[in-house]
Amino acid sequence: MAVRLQFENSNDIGVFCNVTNKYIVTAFGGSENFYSVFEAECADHMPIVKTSVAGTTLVGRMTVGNKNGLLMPNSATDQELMHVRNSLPDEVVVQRVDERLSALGNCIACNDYVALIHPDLDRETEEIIADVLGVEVFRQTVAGNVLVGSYCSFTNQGGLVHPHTSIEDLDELSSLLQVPLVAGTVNRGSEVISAGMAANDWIAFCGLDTTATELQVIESVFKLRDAQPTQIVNEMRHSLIDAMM
Amino acid sequence: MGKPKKRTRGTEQEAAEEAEQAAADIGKGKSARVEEPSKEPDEGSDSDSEDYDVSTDDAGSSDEEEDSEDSQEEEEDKEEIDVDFDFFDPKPEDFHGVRALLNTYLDDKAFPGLSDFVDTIIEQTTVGTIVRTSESESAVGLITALNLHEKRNLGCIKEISAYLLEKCPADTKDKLSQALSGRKTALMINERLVNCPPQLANPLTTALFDEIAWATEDEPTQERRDEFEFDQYLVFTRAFRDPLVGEGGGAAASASGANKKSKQPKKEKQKAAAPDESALVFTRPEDEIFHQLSAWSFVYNAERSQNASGNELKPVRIVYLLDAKKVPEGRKRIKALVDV
Repeated sequence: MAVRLQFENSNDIGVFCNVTNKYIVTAFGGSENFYSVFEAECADHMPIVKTSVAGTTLVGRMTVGNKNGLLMPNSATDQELMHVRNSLPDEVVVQRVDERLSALGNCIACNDYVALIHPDLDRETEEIIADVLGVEVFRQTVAGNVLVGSYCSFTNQGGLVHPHTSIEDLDELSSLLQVPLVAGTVNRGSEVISAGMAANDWIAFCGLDTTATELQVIESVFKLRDAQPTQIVNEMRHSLIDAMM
Repeated sequence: MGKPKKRTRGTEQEAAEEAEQAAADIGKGKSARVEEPSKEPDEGSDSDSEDYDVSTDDAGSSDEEEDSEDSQEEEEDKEEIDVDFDFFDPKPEDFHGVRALLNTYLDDKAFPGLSDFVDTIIEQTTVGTIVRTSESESAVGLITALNLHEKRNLGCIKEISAYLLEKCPADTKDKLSQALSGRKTALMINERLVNCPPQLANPLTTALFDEIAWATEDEPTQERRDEFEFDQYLVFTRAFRDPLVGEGGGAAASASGANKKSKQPKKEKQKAAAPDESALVFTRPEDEIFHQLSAWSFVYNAERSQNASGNELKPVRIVYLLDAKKVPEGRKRIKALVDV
């Protein structure tokens, strides 16, 4: 299911939060409205951590993570790192990355299995990503844009990319990521997908300005209709048993 | 003055002298530069009026150029760049740019009707101008006027009215509610990015008031024509307060204009609560001039003003009511400012 919300009058949800299958990291907000939406939807299933990154509220764009780990930029302070590490479950490895391109959320897009990264990211950073997040890493561009983290957002079920992505690029990315992809917009025509929304395998959060059409597209490509956390396990049951045999 | 010297001098010997000269010339050079921009807007405003006469649809463009003396740029800390400002009628594509400009319209208060508000502004193509620079695709400035009475049932307008009434000091509340419910009151919306040059004031105000005048003649239906017959303008804008200007200066050196008598009793009450009006610093010249001509006004600290520490200018929000009859005088003064 898809939920609309705002952070202090801004529709750019994805800037202020990081949503994964295991946890959610949000920014400190002036009012509790933002945080309370996440609490209402997800508090039963996973921890929701409030933090700042480098003293800013730009949590979604500075950090990147999945169920295995969370990467924070070198500008994140020690206290912030400690706070997040303490608040997240032990299986989630929190690591600070020394990288010139410090807006990790803009440079890296990932789900639990694959990551797309900015072509200019250090080799060292690439290794850390592969290690901490437990993903296969690909250097790619999206619609000719190097900020892959900004212009595409994908989960284990599906993904949304920049509206000007060509069909060939869509096919290529889709085969790399092994998930269905759709080119679309969010927040009433905004092309910066990841800034406008945040999603995991069973819920998506979008800005208040997102039109009904955009919401339908998101719900369909991310397979959110009738999605409950337990259903994922049921769906995967077949493949799990096959693997054991 | 410095320019021709640099161009002709080529020898190494004189290069050292040149550097010294440039330093000395900075004083002269600057004054030369200040004169020149004032010539530009003259031409700009002439072509402005031509453009508006000719074109009724979009792209009434006008160039506002900041003077730049390239050869001296590198020598000085200040860099001047040429910027062209274009003026357009509002279009649907401007939604995101305008929304960004109006994001803090109600300061930190939640404004759920913001998107509707932006929609209302953009739909009104006959009155309203959006400023863009040639490089960026999003709006850097906006000026428009909405008929408060016509739009009174919109959620966004109700929110704005409620917010203004909330912030209004007790003694001005009656005047404000009268203005808000007046049949011919316009809400003038005037927002720009912080570092837009003051030369924009004249073309923007010209554009707005000319378009209002044309709308009263050209609109297809009588209802629409009447919609733009404004007798007063409610302006809700931003300014700064200089904390170094003490409250002692209030009574004696207060602002000019007919509002002096009505303001003084208010001032004594307000000294403790609201910022002193004489300490106001306006970043936009048209605001300063219209405020001087306003019938009444009130000021309150913007929510973030506590963050400005020490002697920095503190942001305030100011609301004033401008009678339509005072507008021609205001326009004359704005034009005069720029032509100096």
